[in-house]
Amino acid sequence: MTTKMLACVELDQVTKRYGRTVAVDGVSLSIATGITGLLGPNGAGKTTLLRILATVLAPDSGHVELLGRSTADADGRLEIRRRLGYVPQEPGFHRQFSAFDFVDYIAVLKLITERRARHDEVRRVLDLLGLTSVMHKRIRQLSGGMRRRVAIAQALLGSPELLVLDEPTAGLDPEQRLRFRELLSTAAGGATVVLSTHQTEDVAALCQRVVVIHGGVVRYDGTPTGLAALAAERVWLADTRDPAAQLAWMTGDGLVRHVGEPPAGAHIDEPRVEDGYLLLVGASVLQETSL
Amino acid sequence: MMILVIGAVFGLAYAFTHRGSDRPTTDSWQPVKVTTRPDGAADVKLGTNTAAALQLARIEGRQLLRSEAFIVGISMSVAILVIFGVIWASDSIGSENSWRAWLALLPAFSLPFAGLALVAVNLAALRARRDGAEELFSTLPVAEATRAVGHLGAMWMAFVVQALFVAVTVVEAVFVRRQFGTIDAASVGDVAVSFVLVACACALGVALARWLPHPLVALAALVVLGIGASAIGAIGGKHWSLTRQLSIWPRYPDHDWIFAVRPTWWHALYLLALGVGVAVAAVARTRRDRPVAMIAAVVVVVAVVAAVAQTRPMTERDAQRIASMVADPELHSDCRINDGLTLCAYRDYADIIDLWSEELTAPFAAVAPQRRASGFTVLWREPSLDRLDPAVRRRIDIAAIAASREADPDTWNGVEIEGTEWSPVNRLALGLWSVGLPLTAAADAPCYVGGQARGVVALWVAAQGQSVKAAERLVTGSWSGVDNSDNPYDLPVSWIDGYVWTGDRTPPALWAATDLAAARTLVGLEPAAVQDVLWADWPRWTDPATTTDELMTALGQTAAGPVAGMPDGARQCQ
Repeated sequence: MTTKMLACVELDQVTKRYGRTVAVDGVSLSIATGITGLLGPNGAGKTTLLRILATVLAPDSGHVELLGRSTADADGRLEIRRRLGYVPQEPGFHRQFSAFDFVDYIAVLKLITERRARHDEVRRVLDLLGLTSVMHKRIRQLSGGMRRRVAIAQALLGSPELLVLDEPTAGLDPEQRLRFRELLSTAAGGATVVLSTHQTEDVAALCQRVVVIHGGVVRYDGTPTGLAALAAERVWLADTRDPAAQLAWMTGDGLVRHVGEPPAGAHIDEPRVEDGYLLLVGASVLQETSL
Repeated sequence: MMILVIGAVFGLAYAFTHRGSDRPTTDSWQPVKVTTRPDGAADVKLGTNTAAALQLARIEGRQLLRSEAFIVGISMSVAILVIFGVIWASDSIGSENSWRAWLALLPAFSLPFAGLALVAVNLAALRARRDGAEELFSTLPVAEATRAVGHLGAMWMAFVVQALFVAVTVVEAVFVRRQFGTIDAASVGDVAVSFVLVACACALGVALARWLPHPLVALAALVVLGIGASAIGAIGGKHWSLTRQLSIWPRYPDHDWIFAVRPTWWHALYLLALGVGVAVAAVARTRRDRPVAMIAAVVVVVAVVAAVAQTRPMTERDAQRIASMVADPELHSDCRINDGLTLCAYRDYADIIDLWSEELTAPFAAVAPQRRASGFTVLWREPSLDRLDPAVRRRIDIAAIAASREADPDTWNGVEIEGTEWSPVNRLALGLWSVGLPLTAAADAPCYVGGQARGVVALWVAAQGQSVKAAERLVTGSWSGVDNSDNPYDLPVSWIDGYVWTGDRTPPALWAATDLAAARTLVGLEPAAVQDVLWADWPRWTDPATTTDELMTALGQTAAGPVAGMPDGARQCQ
């Protein structure tokens, strides 16, 4: 039990710059087993942070320890990579390969070298993603959603202890996203999962923990419920738009949902994760945009 | 058979490249069977980098078969084989039909395949970069160097295809061409060289991808290699030079391989060292440890040793042996004598006697017995004396050998014509001998046999034992029937092909176009009827004073008609 409670991801004052741009600015995080969602607007530093977690990038400063091994030394990185699954934001596919051949190729690169066992494992992960019937089709023949699932399938090879998923649900339709939630919550049980997404519903549905990052800095680190609670008493419904609200939009039932400081006597609504996220990030994004 | 092979290659290519359409599959997520992994996750325990490299080699090798460049490469090599071995193959029986000469061409035939295998392997090694998969691959435990080794290992498929190509070459030689002679160790070395060339190409493809990762680099490398190899391989021109062995594609000297000591195994080792060196360079892009450095050092030593060994002059003993073979071929030959027809060839090539016998028995039998009694000899004598290895040339008197050959009018060199001698040339030589015409041009000027009956008799003799169609071709002038107005003097096609097209040889005789027409008439007649007339008074029909018209009249045929005057530069055949 104590092993499971140990943090699998330890970031200590991690900073990464691209020229003058600071993509990740002194981030410190400690992430244990379970699913952690990374929320943030475009350019917030999510992908850079995930690339650091996937050992693609080395931080300019700070210390990264994954699965008990430091990423600073080659042996440590090799050990981490043996136990890591990664879905890049834009996974490159060998389009001439069939789905099976591609995942099989990745399996070899994951050192699953015994052929029969490897093929069984490839079939297992493809089956998990519902790709069995198309696994011998070339990837260039597959739809975007299917390719995304192929990318997820390869990450699940060997049941990695650490899964780093960069926008895994991008390109998936609503049904596929629901299936993905089901899959991740079941198949990734016992692993540490860090995923970035723009879908707050996914975070609310899947994640035990959410980290909001913006401008390379962690703005929130807690439970999805806690993120939603940030908007408690700050969401209200009205018949018409209140210009004093930070954000307002017409809902399906004809009422206008507002986020901000409610007027006296307003009809307060139950806050959601997206409300808290918007309060944290949305206003500044809007301000940046208006500038 | 070749068509079947080509069809099979393209069929395989089509099957691999058109498995289903490119239309995106309709996306519907089938119900997920959320299966937790069975206990005992040890079934996917991780292996070693070596095991991974082997598996990658297996996968990459299979992928090579799907590469358009790979398919085009082997198709080009097969096409060249078909052109040289089938389309351009004739009824020829000459030194190029020896197993040694044929197998020596194998590395050259393999060059298109090797070149495009380089491109195919290069594209495979660049695949991850091209497809944007490098980010994902960089998070996987298999090192880049291991991936490079996997790409290098893909050459097993190139070996398999090359082995099939060699098999096709051999089968083609056995069933289409009429090969003769033995296969010596050097020829086996040629086969090895063809494999090593393919291996080198694959290694270079990977190395280029690792150091200069752009697909056009491979094409540029092919051009540079082609120019460089040709330049080094042509050192010495048409004369023998050992330095050209340093090229991946040494030019062949213009004499038979039986008169050379070819260090093909040293050449194979030299190329192998270069190939391994290139492979080491590919791995060293990301791995520079002690084992890699040690292999590199060994490779350099082996390459230098092999380079020196393959460019050494031949030994005194070999030089003496070859000089003796050139100066006194009879001493080193097997002979077969049949009713005055003597056929002799070097012992390693003794089975060419069967082929000569097959061609010459019928023409010789058509010669009148009194002429046959003086005997006609076909002997293998090396014609390109001035192109032999300097060590051999120093030991022979080229002028004396040439003079002795000229002084023997009853002996014909069965491989007189360099390169592409045709069996009709041997037939025509027999025909010329049968009527007392010279077998070679004296003082580099042909003699004119226009209007002489013996010229027509010589052609008739040469054409015996063939189909009417082949016989007619043998006695048809290359210009006859096309535009004869400006070319009243003519040569049979076989002379043109044998002499004029293959070098600066002067034909021994020129015919009038009317004589060739008369000869075509003769070969269309019943051979026995013609033979009865000729044998009844052979001295008359072979007398320079007897005209073609007299012969045609004796055979009951229309006279040949007026003969054109003697061409410039010719002299009357006496």
